[in-house]
Amino acid sequence: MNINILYAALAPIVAILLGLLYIGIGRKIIARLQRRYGPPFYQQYIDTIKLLAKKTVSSHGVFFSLGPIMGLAGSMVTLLFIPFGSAAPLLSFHGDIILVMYLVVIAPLGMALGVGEGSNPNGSIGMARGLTLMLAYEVPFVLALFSVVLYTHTTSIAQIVQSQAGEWSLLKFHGFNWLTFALPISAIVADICLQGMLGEKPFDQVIAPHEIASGPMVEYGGKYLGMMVINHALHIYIETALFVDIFLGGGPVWFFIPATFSVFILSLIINGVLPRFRIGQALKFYWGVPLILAVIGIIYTMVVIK
Amino acid sequence: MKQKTEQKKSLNQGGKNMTEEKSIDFFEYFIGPQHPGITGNFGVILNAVGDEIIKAQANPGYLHRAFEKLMEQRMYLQNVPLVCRICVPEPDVNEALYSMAIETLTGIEVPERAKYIRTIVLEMARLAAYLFYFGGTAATLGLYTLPNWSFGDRDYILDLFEELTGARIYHIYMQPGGVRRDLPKDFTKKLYSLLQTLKKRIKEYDGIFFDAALFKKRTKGVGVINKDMAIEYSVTGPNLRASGIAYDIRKDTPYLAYPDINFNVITENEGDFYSRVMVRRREFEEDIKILEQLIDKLPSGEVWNRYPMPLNWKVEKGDVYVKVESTKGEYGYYVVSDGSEKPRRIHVRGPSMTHGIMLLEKLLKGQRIADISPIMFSLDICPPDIDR
Amino acid sequence: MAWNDILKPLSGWKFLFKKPHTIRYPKEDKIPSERYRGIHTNMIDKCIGCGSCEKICMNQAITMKEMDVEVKEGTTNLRPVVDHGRCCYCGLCVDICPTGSLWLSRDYRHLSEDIDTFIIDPNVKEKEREGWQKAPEFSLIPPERGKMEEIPPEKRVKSFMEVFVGYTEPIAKEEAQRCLGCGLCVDACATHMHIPDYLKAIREGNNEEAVRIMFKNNPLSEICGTVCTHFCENVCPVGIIGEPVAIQWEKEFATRTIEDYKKIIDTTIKEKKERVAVVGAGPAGLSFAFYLRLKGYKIDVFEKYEKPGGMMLLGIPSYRLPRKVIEKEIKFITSTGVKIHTGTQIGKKKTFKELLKKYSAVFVATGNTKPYTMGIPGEEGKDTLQAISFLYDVNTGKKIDLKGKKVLVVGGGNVAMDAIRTSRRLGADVYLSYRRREVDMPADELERKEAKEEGIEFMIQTLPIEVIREKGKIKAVKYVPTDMDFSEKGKRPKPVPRMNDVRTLEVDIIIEAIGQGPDLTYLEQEFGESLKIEKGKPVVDKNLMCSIKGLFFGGDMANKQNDIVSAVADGRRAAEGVHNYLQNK
Repeated sequence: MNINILYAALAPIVAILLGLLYIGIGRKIIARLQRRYGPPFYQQYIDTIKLLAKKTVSSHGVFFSLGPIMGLAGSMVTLLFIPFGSAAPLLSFHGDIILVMYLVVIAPLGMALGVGEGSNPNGSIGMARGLTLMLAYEVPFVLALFSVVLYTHTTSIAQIVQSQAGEWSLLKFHGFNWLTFALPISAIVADICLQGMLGEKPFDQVIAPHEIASGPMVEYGGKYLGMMVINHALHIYIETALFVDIFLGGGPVWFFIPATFSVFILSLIINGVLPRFRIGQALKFYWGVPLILAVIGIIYTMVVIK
Repeated sequence: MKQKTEQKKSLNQGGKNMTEEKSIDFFEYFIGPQHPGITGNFGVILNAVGDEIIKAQANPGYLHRAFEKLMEQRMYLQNVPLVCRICVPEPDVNEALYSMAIETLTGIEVPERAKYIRTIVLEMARLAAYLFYFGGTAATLGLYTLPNWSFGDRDYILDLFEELTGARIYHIYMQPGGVRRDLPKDFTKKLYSLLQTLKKRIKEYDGIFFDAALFKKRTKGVGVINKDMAIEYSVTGPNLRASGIAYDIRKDTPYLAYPDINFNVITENEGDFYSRVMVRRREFEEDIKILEQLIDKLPSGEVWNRYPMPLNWKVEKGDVYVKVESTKGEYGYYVVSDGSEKPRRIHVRGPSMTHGIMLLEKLLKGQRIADISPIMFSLDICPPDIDR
Repeated sequence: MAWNDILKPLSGWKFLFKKPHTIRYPKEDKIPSERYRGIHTNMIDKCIGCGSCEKICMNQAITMKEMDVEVKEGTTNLRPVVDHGRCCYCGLCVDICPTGSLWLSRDYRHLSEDIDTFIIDPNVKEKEREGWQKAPEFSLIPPERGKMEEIPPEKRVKSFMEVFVGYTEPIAKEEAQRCLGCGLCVDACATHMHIPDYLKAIREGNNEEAVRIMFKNNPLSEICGTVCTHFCENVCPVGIIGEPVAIQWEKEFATRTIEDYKKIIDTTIKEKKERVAVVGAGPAGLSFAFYLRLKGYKIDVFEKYEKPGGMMLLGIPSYRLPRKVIEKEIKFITSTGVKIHTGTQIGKKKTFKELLKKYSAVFVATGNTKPYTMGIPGEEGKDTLQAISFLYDVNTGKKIDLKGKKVLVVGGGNVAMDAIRTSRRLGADVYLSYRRREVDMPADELERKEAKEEGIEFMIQTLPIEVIREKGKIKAVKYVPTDMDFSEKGKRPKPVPRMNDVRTLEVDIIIEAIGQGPDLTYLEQEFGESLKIEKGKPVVDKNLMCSIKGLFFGGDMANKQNDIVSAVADGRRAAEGVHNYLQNK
């Protein structure tokens, strides 16, 4: 029991630290692309601490203040279901993959609640875009997960990880068990959806600075903004970890952390060189090629299982 | 999509505005003056239904520094440091125009070399302004790599400006009768090598931006100005050429060293966002060619014909209108002198007034919120020039 | 939509491992270019405090503040202080600075929370980090003065006609534009004429107003416009970058456009009872008479010679100062009610004591009439002339024929110049001997230039030591070259003759122009000890009154400058002095 409490307490901290580190290094890499040196990799920590240390000047009401907290809480709960590589998560049962799909939504919904009370059109438009985008990428993503469930015959993330487990050593490459190789089409679809989930270009319509001035974050400042940054860091961890767990076989810590980071970098590489879609175009895009690919993936899986 | 927009438009014209304003989707949306997606201290008040703009109203005035009035209270030479502040991204046209106006009024001849140096400065400023434009436009579409590249490359031009004029942005280099200093040592050599670098760089820009599929997807068919509309709204400059009308003051009424230079007037036919960007992108290469010719043909000799002592300088009575082609369109100065030490009236005809208010309001109607800022940037509006 | 277009953007990643091209401030530093326009710096000793930078500044960022600096001739103790909160770094102040003391450095950083620190005192002792500097060819002040037509040397040596034709109106207006309006000339001018004001009037085409301004300080403006030592032009900051503003010629132009001064200058007078006597109708006496007359006193001027004008008439040859100019000025002064009694020498028939009894006050300005001599062997004789008496003879119309004769003039002042040029016009071959260098000559540069043009040989750094005579007539002059001794700082170098290098020059006539002093014989006779005299000149207080009450001195006999404009200034000062004295009596 004590270990469980420790896990519940430590997991978010590790996730936040990792998420912020990824953002920091990501900024450095993007800076290099842009022929700059960029801020130091620990800049994100400094910024977050600064934001949390700040006084919050104004609030537009109870839900406005509750929004970021609800979002953060949702993310933290989700975290308990995500295996840290091959280490089992705190909570694990059959069907938790479906629960996670629901829990991931809590964070944006919480935000929507708070932003809605802020009644700034930038925030509202941003939230509307966020929810539309979620609608867009979740359809192919769920279908991709469906093919995974079909293939592994389980709806527990921990078991999906286990199903890919092989012999682990530094000398021997374990990747042959990865679902990426078993289900390449679904993996590609999931990665394309991950781009949208992470909110990286070309799917960063939610914050789009030139269009809606950072969207949902526009009314928030101080501690709330700090919480939103933390939430963002958690999201990066959760989503990359989910992808690594499902498609890259989780793996021990020395593999898991670089793997999640690599998944993040992959999305950054696309993020760095592309402009963004209009929200309608994004919806059309996700319901176009990825959706068809996801369906093809399911058919492929069915063929493979036979 | 386009059809839908047109349908909505016809609905608007059918007097359904009231119902739309009452609809739950209706809201008032302010872009600017505090907004990342605005070209400067400027604002647009938008009435939107859902994601669609039904009415746009430009809201300028935040940068009103009363240049025209200030100029009436300063001696002729004292205005030279002032005029360049009218447009930040491309200040040199102001200096050139002001000097040209005074030269026409007083009859001071400009030495041939000074004419060439001025043209070099103007073309360098054009390159710098286009790099600024490319960066700005790419940023509105969410591609933040290009602005970082292009502003970095622009800095190389600014370095050369610093060497030539002593300042990076507000050069205050041209003065009536010529320029303030001769070219420094090895300047043309440095400029030439920079031009070769820029030629390579623009190809790299092509890869990341101008040729990119997503850029074309976002920009084609957005914010179309057709030929008739362009003429009706007195659109000038690259925006006009993007609509298929080959009008360029450098070609039609040449000034400074342009009569000696061979260059093509670049046009595109669509008149949309994409054409507006591509006209400028192609002109960028044309300008590099112009600069290379200027370097080759640069004559030697004096660079300044003296004017009387500036503290007691009286300009002959009269009035004059001079115009040049800036990156934003036709830039003109109307200077009236009453024969005293200070100008009686200076009117600045900036292209941003027509582009940034009348045309913008028209263009934004029926657009998506995501396209407001890109359209504004594609017109290359310079708010200080609207306010003056 | 080609696949190529979708994948092409990834080409941007080739920069991932390339060195970024930004500058990592503060680890790295950008070195500004050589012409960078940064923070102002000013060489405090080179700056003359003219304030041109303050005038050209469009933002009023520059203010001139009094500072603790050494005030030399033609400078002020004002130095610029720059408010960098207002400065726009255009560098016009640098381009207009006549001395080049001001420049913009390559420093561009100043960080402070205190607003007052942005008002920067740019004054430094030494040059450092020069950025935007003055380039002489791009100076905003036109370096060349308006050209004046002059009669070519070959033609002018044949007659006594005036050398300069004078400015035409467009050139005069253009020339007046060159004035910076700094007012350094006002301080330098002995009479403190409001030069920037009348130059402004001239360039506005208002010559009448210009003349009105001139006559406030100088009733002999036209004479001063024609011949003057023009201290104003010597200090003019425009002269540092080129030729100074032609203040003298501007004055000449403006005054000559006026036919009759009476018409434009208000000379309504409230009569007073007191009568004041003036001895000597030279520039000092005339100026005194004019200003005191304007105050309402009744003036009687006593002049030894037949015509009024003093040294202006008798000393200065007519090719420099046409006689009609003197007549015009004196006519105007007499028209105000000043009475001039010519041919009346005080001291002989009338005594000074009588004058003092009869008049409330007496102003004496009899000038320097006693010439100095060299005191070398063989000097005395009929053919050794004194410059002033020689000029007097020429100017009063005595026929002197110097055709084909060799004349040696000794001296380097304006009198020497007059002597050489007059003798040249009388047909002589003229040599000039001067013991110092040419730059040390007190004579005007223009005079020297013109004298040379007229074919006069300058024997610079020579000293006559003996006159060789044959049958009482001069045959030759022995002279030695001199070396300059600079050991005494701050003073003119001393000539040291090289006695072993004796040369001879065959001449027929020697004219000595080595200076003159006042003739105080009559005064000494009458007043004796009660009149205090120092170095051959009477001691006067600030009102120019001497130790005897009611007796005032002025002009060459009381001042050191020995020129017209100082004499005029003396006259004006004495007029104030007499007025104060009589009002407080």
